[in-house]
Amino acid sequence: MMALQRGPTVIWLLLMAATLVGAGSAGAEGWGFALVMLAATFKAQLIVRYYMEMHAAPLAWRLVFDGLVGLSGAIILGLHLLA
Amino acid sequence: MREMAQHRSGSVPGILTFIAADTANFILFFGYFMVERMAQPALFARSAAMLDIRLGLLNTVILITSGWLVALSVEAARAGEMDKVRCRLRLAIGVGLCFGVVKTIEYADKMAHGLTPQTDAFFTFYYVFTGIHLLHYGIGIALLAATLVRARRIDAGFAGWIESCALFWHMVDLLWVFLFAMLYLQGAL
Repeated sequence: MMALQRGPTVIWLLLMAATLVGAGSAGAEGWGFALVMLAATFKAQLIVRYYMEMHAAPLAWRLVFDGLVGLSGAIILGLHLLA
Repeated sequence: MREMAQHRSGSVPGILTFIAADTANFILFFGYFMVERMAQPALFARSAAMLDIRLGLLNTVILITSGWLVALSVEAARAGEMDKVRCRLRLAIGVGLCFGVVKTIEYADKMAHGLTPQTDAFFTFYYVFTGIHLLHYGIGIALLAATLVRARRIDAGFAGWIESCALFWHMVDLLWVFLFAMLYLQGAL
């Protein structure tokens, strides 16, 4: 049982670390917002893959959710860089 | 976790379709906001700087922690440990309710400073997007509360129910991750 509980807890720790990295990068010169969006997309991917368990889902569902996460990050960062 | 996911109930794909469609809808919101931001960069930067990043960060930590407790509840449900399911769900709901409290404080502070949906385009987006997200959050809390009530007794369809409610709650977390980055952290530049 302990081994089973380790999964969500490790993901929680990674999510907290990525949150701190993202918030810490905000306001930084140059590529600061790129780091923010990289951290946000990484967090979203962790949520989708492990908490929503897409890592074990059929390929079609995995592609749909990976695509949605990637598209969200790409649209926000891409249009930010174009501005 | 892979072995756990193999126990997923057959009722789950329905909620996945809903979550995928809802997330796609939010992607349109993100695109609309970013295009409008390109047209008025100075106004958006000035208004976004008026948001309190600390409150947004606190709410991110709250949702991440509540999501973790819900994931642990699902594991306990699959193991048939209903006492643990109830305990973890109570904690998840308790932590999750803090998000609503923080959001209320934040809205009240903004209103007190005269920052309303009519203030400018940024604040219109801010209230509409966070308001729609808050609606999802409210539904998520209600689903978790219903799950807690249902967890009082052993029920054949409980595993599928808790998995579906957990997926919805993780979507609330997922959408907030991008809203926090786009509305709060982008404004820190």
